[in-house]
Amino acid sequence: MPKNRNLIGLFTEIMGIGAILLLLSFASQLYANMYVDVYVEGPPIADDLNIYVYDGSSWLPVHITYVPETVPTLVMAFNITENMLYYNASRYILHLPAKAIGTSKPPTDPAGFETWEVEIFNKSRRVTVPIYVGKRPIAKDAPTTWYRLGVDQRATYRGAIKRGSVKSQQISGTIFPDQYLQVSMPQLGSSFHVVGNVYFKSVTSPTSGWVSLTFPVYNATNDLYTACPGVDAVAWVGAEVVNVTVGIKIKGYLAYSTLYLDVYEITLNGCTYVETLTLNIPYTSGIFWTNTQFRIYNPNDSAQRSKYLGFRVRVYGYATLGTEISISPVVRYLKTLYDNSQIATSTSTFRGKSASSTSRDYDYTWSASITGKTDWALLFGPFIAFDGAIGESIGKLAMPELNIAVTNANYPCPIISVAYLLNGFVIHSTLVFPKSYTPYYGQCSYPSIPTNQIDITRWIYTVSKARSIGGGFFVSIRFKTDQPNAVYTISGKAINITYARWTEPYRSAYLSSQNLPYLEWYSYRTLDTLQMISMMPNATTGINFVSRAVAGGQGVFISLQSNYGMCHVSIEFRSTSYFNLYGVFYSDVQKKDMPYWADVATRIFDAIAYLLSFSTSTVASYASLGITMVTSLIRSAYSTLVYSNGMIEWTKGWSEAAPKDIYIVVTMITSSTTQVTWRPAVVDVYYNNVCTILPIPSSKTTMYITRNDQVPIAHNTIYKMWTWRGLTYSGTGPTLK
Amino acid sequence: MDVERAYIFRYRAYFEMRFLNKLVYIFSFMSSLLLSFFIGIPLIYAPLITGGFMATLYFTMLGVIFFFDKIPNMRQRALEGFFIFLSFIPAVINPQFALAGFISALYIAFAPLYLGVKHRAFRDGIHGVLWFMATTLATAFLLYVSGTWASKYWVQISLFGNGAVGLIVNYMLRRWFIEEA
Repeated sequence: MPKNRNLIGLFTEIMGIGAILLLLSFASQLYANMYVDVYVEGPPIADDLNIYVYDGSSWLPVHITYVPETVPTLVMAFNITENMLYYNASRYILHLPAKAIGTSKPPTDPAGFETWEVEIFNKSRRVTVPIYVGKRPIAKDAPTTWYRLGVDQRATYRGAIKRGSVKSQQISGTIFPDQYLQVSMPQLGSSFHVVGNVYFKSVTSPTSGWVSLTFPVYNATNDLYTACPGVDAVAWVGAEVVNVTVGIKIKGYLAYSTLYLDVYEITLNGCTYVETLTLNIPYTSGIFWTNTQFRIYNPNDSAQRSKYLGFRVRVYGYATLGTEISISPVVRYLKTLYDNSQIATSTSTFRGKSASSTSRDYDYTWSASITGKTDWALLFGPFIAFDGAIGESIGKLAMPELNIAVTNANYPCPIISVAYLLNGFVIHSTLVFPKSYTPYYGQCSYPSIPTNQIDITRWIYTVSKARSIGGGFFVSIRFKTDQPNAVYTISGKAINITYARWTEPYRSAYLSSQNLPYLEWYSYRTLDTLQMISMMPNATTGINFVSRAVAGGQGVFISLQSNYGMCHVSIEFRSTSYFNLYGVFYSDVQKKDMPYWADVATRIFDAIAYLLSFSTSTVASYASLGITMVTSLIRSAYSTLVYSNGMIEWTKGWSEAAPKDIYIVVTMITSSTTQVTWRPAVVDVYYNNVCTILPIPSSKTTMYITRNDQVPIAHNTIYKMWTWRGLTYSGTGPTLK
Repeated sequence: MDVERAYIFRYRAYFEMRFLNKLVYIFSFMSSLLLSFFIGIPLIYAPLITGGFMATLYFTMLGVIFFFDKIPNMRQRALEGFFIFLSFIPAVINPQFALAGFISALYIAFAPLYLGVKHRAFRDGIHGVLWFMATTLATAFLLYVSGTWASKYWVQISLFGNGAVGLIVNYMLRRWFIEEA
């Protein structure tokens, strides 16, 4: 026994020494990056700012971790309650580099920067550290401020920020007649910023140790894609790039790491290396993002802007085995509007579980009842994060009028604090006072909270993309009261997110003097992709539904893909021009028509049923009904595509297997610009070996299509498409023969 | 067994048979009415559902004609209904077999009419023709009265018109033909 104990002791000792040695070896490096964590509560909100300290010789970035609050949340789509983390952007931990404390002031303040002070409270004394806050990074290659979504984060010190303007996002308070928002169309010829994502696949560290990882370009197939011959994994970014911000998600452990963003210029002759942007990744794990706006080119220099760019992303650092890293660069372009068809408007709507294909969005009312809690939230969504969003405020969120009813309340009626959150961040909060403080038989009445319009900013978009490649938005409404036993019933109508979107995938400068596209244009195409995730509680069995509309000279191709088979698709489709349903294709690119025998048989049966319908007698009616049933049976053996009441209805035939992807082709005869509105609404999914009606959130898009006969058809080239989770390359799609 | 008891026994059996007719009618009529509400939904068009619907229609038709009488050879009729259902099974394997459904559709409409004349549910040809015309007029009237409803609930109205109104007409005609005879 003692022998054993000695052995174990010896072993532990060796292990201990080893660990100390290991720690020491790390500590030498750690010392260089020592941070003092200061917890700050209250304004100013730190988002979208670059914060630096001066260490006597150089500028060091101050990283920020947002501190969460855990709130029980009713997920409206599934009617389940989950504990969710919510972030108030004015509660965060500043990671101050230790070297910067107590150092001298810089000789000159950087241009465009404000000097704030952080007061650090340390039991007996207070230390004040100046911080330098600005909208842009200090220099192009300077290290940058990273923001991170914390999980139960603790700081060593408490502190307070002095000075600095309160930058809180205010609600504009517009009331809309219907629940749809209108995003104003920019003037023709005006320039504006367009935000889009560049997609890379996530990479898993193959070993434990120092690794150098290159991120492959995300594409629909598993092929290795590169925009540059001879250089691996270069993603097509396109022209008119102004700057790029980066979002990162690390599952596992990554330390002392650096992100390299290689910029290439793409020409017909090949690629030219331009530069490499370097970012030090400060944390070991989690979701974080920069707000650094790397200026790629001078935005005012049109010659520079017109160059095509490609990105390659590499990470070098110390990672443990199996650490998964996702990088998501968000690019800002400067585009010029020459034609209305370059912009589409998309509306994504939360309609809830009981929504059906027939219910209109604004008719739908959701309601939720909560009791036994003083702090809770309701979660709506998910909505879709679109690419090609326009402007600084990339979208608008329409919050409907909220009605609050409280029963079983004691005196006095509670004051309710209501906060709107977007992707877990508080955007706006307000207090709702009861009409009377004396409950009437336990009931308290409240004035309804009026409709609100909330702007979605670019940094929320970046956060969303950092969380997941696809991105997405969810809206929460958080309530706080002081009476847990009262019953709170909240109700409202549909919640909408509306975006103006850049749909033309090419640089706007490719429009000729007659505003006609030329050269690189395969044929005029307006692209629009969106993804819908069904409201299934379990993510692994969740049903993904991707829909894409491609507008060519001859019409509109609507493609739908799902990870499950599809049984019934209904697409709201309206056009200002005459159109015709051409047909439906499956992945085998064969037009799905009824077989000849079925066509003839149904025509004959129809004629007989028609003749019988002249008599309304029992016998004739039953014969007619029977024949109609048989006709329908034969007709429904193969896929049917009909248009009625503004809806394209596609139904899988009963003799067919449920296809996972379909193309619906709508031909359009128009010579002028046509406004087209489409919305895939409800899909019956082949789920558990049966066709099941599932509530899938809908999204409406309005776009303008121009027919162009002067477009050279034969020229096929690569281009970036505005896709949601996507393709960065596309060849030719299905064409009309 | 004395005459009185034998009469009661026979009467009861006769009553039970007539009761069965009504049961067949009510059950099949109600279920066909119920099924008809799903006709608009394309997904229900599967061979077996169509087969079931057709068999139900057949029994409704039999029930309408023989409501005040006795369905002849009930066991054979039940077998026929089952065969109507079975005739749609091959379509599951190959949709082309659904063409056979046309024969079934004609059968469910005209076989009960033939049986009605054969087993004297209709006293004679004139009775049959009158029934045909009266149901036509009554249903046409019903469709006319229902107005805009008719377009949306055409199947239900025509089923109801022919199932229920056809029954009333049948009753009235029988009062003429049988009571007066």
